[in-house]
Amino acid sequence: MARMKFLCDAERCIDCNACVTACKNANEVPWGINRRRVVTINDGKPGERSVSMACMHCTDAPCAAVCPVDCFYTTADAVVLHSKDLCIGCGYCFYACPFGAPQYPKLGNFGSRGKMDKCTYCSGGPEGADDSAAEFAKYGANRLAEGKLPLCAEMCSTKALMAGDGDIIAQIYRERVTKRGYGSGSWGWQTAYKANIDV
Amino acid sequence: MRMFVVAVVTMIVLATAGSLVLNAVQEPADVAFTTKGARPDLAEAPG
Amino acid sequence: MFKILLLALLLTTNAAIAQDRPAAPVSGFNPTQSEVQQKALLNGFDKILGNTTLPDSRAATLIQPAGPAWRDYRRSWLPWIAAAAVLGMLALLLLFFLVRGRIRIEGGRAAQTILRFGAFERFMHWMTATAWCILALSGLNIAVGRIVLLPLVGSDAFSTLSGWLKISHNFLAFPFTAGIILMFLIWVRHNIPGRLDVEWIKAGGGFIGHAHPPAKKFNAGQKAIFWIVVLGGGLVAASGFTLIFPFYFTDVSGMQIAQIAHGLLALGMIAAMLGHIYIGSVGMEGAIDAMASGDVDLNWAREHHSLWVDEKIERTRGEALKPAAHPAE
Repeated sequence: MARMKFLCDAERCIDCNACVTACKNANEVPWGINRRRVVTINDGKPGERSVSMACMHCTDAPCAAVCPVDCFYTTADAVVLHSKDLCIGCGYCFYACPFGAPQYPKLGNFGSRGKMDKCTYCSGGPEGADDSAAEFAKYGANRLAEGKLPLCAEMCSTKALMAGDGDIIAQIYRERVTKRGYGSGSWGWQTAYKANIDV
Repeated sequence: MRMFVVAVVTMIVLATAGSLVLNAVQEPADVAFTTKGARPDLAEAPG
Repeated sequence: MFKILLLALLLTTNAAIAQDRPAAPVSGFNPTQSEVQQKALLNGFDKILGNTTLPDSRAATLIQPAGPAWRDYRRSWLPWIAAAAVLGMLALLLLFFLVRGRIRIEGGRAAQTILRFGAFERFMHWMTATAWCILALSGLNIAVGRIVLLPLVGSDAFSTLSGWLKISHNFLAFPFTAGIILMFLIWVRHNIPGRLDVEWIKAGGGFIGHAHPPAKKFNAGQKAIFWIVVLGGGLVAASGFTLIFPFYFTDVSGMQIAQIAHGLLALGMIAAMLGHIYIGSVGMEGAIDAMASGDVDLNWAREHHSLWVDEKIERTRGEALKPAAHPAE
């Protein structure tokens, strides 16, 4: 099985936010919740870079480790999913996540903040009921089951955002950096996977 | 014993009051993180 | 074979071109020099901040790697600390019970009782105590329930239970905090440490040995419990409110620290309160009366709070005294 990862080549990202829109559309993400976002570092200054960020599906994910009800699952493709039936909306994953991925339908931690929502790597829910309407309503699309990669990466116009097996996208990135002679690194990889891409 | 019952009742009243106040303060994400311009007014939408 | 050679040649040429790249390209802007290095950014700050077009300003935080440290604390340390606090304290108390046994009223029950805690004092004690018990159990459930309870009841039942416990934990914080404030206001004047307390501790407090050093309304042990409850409970409440109001006071890394402080302080309090519950019930004959009916046995009061008894009788001109409901054995 592949070890699915995301990689954003910040030299290519043009801050068009199409990945954000595609994600919201493909998964029918509710208003106010963005499973993917684009953050611009050094905005307007020399060295400005934009990075598209979502759940990185970490190795030994902090969210899964701290969840009091153990509602997280890591699939065979190393995608980190969570069960919205088990989630109690306590906010612990949100305190633990290095990427700010977990979000809730309601703000604050009072009472009913609702079930956590985050990027599913376009692979639906953890219950394994592929492509059912109930799964879509809860978790969004299950493109992986159709043999497709997450839509954000698939439709990225500059191919800055890559999804797929970690070794393969790392190799693509390595070739790009070698060819153009520079790169600002694999954003979040050290934090998520404890490994950078050596070029 | 009587004071114990009074204490438990007061505790429940205070907790419930707290929950009501906080749930009233709590903002849904679709209100907090969207701008007015981004929201189509469903009432005015052609039916 | 020829194709592979050609490919190798192409790759080396590419690499050579990359290395021979002029320091300043035609545009006058050298991307290598102004490269944003996330490592440098991460070394300089605890998080990488940027700009985003989303209305959620928190989304502008790109990476905050403090998370994994909290993960390791919660997974590797917390269960052991919780076990030490709860099981360790219970073991100590059992040992104490086996060695010392129940602390009896040495003079036996008297024919009279004396009012130790009035209705309001009992009310605020039980409000805080009941809230605290549920807070402690639901907190322990959040901390170690996944290890202890989840395998026993299954994930669905455990999630439902934890959901309700989470809600009660959040909202019982209010009566608990109110109780802490009330107890502080009502009892603080009796709990200023003094010379008597030093002597009480030197004499073993009646726990070690059978001495009954003089004490006022609260002896040194009770004063310690008072300050543990007021300061510990106050800090637990403060750190808890930081978590219940995310981003009102601090950011994510601040809330991780608050959570660690909240958990550790609460576990310390759980250990202290187990001792308090033990000595107030099984551990000492006659102690429970103080918070049950409010009227304690006169002999018990004389043994543990001699100065307070004299003062109380004098101040109320004996009105605090009542005949015992149950005749002296």
